[in-house]
Amino acid sequence: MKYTLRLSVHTAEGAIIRILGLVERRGFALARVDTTSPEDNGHLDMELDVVSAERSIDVLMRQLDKLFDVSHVLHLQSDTRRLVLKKGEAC
Amino acid sequence: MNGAQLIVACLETEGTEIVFGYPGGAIMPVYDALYDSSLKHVLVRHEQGAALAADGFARATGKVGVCIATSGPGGTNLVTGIANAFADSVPMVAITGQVATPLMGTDSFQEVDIFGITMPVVKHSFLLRDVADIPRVMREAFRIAAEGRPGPVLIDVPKDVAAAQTDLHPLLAGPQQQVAGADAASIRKAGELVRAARRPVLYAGGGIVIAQAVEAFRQYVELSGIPVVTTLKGLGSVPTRHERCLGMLGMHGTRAANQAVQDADLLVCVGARFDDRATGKLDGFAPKAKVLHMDADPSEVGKLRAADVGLLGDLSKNLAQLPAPVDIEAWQAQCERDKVEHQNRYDAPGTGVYAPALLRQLSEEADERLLLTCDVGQHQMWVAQHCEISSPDRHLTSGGLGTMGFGLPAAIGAQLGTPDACVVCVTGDGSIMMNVQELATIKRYNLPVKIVLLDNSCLGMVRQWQDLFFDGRQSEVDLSDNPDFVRVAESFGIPAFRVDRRDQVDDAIQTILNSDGPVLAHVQIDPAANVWPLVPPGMTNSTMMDEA
Ligand SMILES: Cc1ncc(C[n+]2csc(CCOP(=O)(O)OP(=O)(O)O)c2C)c(N)n1
Repeated sequence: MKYTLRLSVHTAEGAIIRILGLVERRGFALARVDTTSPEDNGHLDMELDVVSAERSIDVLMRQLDKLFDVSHVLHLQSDTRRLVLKKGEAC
Repeated sequence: MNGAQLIVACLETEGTEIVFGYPGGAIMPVYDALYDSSLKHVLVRHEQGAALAADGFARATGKVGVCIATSGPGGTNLVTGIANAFADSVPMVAITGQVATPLMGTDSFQEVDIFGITMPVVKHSFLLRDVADIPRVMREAFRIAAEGRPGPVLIDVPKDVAAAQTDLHPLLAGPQQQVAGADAASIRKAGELVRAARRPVLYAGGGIVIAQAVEAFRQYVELSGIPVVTTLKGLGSVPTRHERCLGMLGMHGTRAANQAVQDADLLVCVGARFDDRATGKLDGFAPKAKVLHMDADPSEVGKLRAADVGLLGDLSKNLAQLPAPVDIEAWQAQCERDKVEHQNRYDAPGTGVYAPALLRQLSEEADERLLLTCDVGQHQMWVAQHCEISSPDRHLTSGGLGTMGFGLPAAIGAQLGTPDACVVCVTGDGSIMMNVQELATIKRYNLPVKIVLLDNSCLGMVRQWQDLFFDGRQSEVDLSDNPDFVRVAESFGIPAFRVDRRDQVDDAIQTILNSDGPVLAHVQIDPAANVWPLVPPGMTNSTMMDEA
């Protein structure tokens, strides 16, 4: 199952590695990593596609949320919802 | 003032009185600052000892343990102790020296990326690149280490930052944030689960003592009458001799505890985390039970076992809101019958020392000042199974990581943190050698730590598994050429004596408990003794093996 997460990250040293390391260690594969820092305000937006057959995305989100550099975690869409969206775009 | 002096001032402001450490090049500015400070520095003989002593100090006192090491090998030697604190949620601040910032990233002498190395085993970490960040980072580190689910925090301090001049001051801790209880709707649902249950079990973990909820837990046990099983770290949540206590669950748990969980229709999990040593085969664990999971850490609820209701937030407040179940007398009686039927026996044949009996007797004859620390292996399980444990902070054991070498430094930290305690370290002939150098620390600070070394001339726990699950192919577990441990202790200036026979045990226990200073009892036990009962790996907790 593939999930898309959006994180709001405080740009402290090590923050990105900490996040990516946690995702892999907790049993998810990273399929996509995007980071942008819209303004120079010490914050970074991060989007991740993560994949796991059996692990719970809710638990992963709570584990990410516990990181001190992460101020926000959002689950954007699962595979199925993306499909629905695409269909919607098609009509 | 320089950065190092500011760091030391911050430690003083945080209320730190003792730090455990070992000096070296990159951390020298901090050691120079310690020279004039009111902090007591305890010089260990290996940095792993510093981290594990800080861990033992923290577990015994509930305060943040502090350890210090230099860059490179100093930092890497801390890693096992940091991981140990992480696995058991122990509040710790580890300060490492780092090479100067211009040299960082150039593979300079004694440079390692300790910030990177420790990332998976810290709650959080900081690389201090600017002297101006010291007050904020130090305050944050102590706050993060202690709040919520505690854990280790690493601060890596480059030498030039420690040497830089500053006129900043330490930040004072703000008022402690009050943690709220769970929301009313969840509490109501939890209450419904409890009232509907006919066969409830309280599954008590190390989170209870961490959340300072031992009192609230005990009150709920009295109010509810629900039978209690505990994890290794939950032992003592109610005194192990309490009528409702069925003992430890899991791989080396009691039959009564494991049976109760397998039969339960409601598992009230309080500060525990469904660790595999406790659950056995997870999908056969408590198969008939609904789960009410109470924890301070949201990411634990539903991690391994789905919870019917999760109660987050302050454990004490949540426990105080739970109702008593109704109509569980038949269940209580069934648990009680199981407990009596499967009581431990201490009438082992022979004249050799029977370790479970010795440990039981020791804990019975000791008074309430007894504080046990353990190493890892069979002796650790015997302590858990056979000792009377009055409170979880009186039984320090490496649960999550299972770190051989924990016992001795943990005893040092615990003794320094609780000077009135009668600290007894139960260790094995394998484990003691992992941090044997800390005998020098015991001697130097004249700590009255008592050491009970159970010598079976082998790596007993591994030998047991090889006998049971690897066709008796004993691979690299023989320690029959051990040193003479009495002479080892004596060479460090610590009195020691041998115990070879059962008829020497009474006197030995008196000597151990009544010595003013440190003492080591070298106890020869049967190399073939095993820990029973046992749930074989991969099996459910209903499958318990016992002595053939
Ligand atoms: C640092 C470390 N290395 C290896 C192990 C694996 N291990 C677990 S128990 C054990 C044997 C311990 O032997 P000893 O201290 O003599 O205790 P006994 O089991 O004989 O009571 C070993 C090697 C471990 N837990 N920790």
